[in-house]
Amino acid sequence: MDELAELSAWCACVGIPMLSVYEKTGILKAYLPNTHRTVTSKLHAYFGRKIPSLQIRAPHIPSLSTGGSSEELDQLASPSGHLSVLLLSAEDGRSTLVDLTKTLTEMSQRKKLSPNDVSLDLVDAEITESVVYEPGLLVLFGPNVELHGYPPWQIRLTEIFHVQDNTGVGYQVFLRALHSFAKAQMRFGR
Amino acid sequence: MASMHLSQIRRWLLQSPPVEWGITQLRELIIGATRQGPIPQHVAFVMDGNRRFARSHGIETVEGHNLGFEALARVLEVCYKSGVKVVTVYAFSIENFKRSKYEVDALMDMAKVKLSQLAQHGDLLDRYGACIRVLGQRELVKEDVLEAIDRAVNMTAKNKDAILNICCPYTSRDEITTAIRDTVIDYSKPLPSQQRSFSESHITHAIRTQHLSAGILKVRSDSPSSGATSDTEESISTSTTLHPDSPPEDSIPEGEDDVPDLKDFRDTFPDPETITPETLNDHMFTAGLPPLDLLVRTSGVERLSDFMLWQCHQDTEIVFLKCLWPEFDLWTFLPVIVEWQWKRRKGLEREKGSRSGSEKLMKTV
Repeated sequence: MDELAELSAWCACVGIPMLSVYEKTGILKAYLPNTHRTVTSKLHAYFGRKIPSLQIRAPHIPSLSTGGSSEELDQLASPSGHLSVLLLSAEDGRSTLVDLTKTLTEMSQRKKLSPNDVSLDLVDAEITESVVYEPGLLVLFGPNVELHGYPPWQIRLTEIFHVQDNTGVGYQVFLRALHSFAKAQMRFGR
Repeated sequence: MASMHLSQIRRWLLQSPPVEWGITQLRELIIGATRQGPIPQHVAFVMDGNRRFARSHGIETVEGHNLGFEALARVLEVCYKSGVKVVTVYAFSIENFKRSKYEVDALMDMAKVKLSQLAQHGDLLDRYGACIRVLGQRELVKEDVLEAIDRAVNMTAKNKDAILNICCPYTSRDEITTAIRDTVIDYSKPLPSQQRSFSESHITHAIRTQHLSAGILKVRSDSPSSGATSDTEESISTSTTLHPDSPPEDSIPEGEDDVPDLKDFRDTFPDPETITPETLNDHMFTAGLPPLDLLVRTSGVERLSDFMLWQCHQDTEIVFLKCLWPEFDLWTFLPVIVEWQWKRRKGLEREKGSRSGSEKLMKTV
């Protein structure tokens, strides 16, 4: 949990607005208030008085925030910026797509929807709203590059940075990951 | 000058028949050695780097793609000889249609020629008993290319030992959306009504007679409420006396006002709660194939780029290689296979260790 707090502080310093952490079993989600307290105290340690407005949430769980509401106006007003921390687990992966299919099926059975209405944009809009939008960079810890159930829909263009060592998160790793992201050429098919 | 002379000599030496024979034997030996260990059943390749290779070597982009095709033929040979059952390659993305018309047309022409080449009798695919399957959105491809695709697929259809999946034009999100749509369509087909030998109206009549004789008039008060609930519930209605899905064979006797409501609700559908990840899996383009074991992407790009997102989201080992696709050969692929085998064996040993440990624990308890 301390590492999560450190990561949040670094992201807030750099100006990254959204950090999502995937942990297969979802144990972090169960301890949301603790996580929130730890991250807030770490941010105080880094920033002093004026910490950026922070929002910690997980899909389908009410969020916890400090520093006022996280509306657009507040983002512009608060000079330290805003950080959103999202906790994900295995059930936000394939299961969410399956749930969406179930809902669409029910709607189709009730004749509220025609199967031809199921388009890529519709699925994209629903999944993005329900879970998270596409991350730009994924830092993967572990001996192999394996996704272990990370939500499949979101990572289509995500740069994957692989770190062998999964005992801790160091600042070096964070920096190297950002560098590799900057170097990556995004051609989008052209 | 001397070094250029030396490199010329070295190249001539390497191309001489005895040395080439020696290298071929070495390749066979190495492939045979890898067969001793576990082999991935399903391997996917992202053939990236053709254009960069062409640029760095000062040749035309199209020539780069041709060399890329030769690399593909080499890799297929290695894979099939090692025992890989399914090879999936990312040939063309739906996003690639954004490229210049010249390049897209050139790629499509190349696809036509190469497909017919691959499917020739006695050629690579026939030798290893592999059949071609083309995965992707057929509607986006022109007629003549579709013809070439269908011809190649038909020519190799009789081969059953191995499969080559060519993803063209393909994006993973499109595949997932199509799978969801097909599942929705499947589940929206009403279940065939059962023709049973019992007449609904006869049964109601008998029950009513029983109740009347017993002096209980519960049926009258129950049926209007069941008619209301069936409008809001999808599943079989909770009415105790009437069956919504079997059609009445005789006309209902007078006095039952709510029955016309139930008759409109004749269709029942499969329960959406039975949809699982397996259901979606069975609707993907790769349905029925072994799960993806290994995904290799060349040219140093560390992204998935909308390829096999659904299939590789759990246990698939993803490998990013720095070399460009036309340079890809046995020598670059070998370390990947060996490492995969080593990790797989370690994983199995760990599993065995934990299982025997838990058995010992149970025994001591």
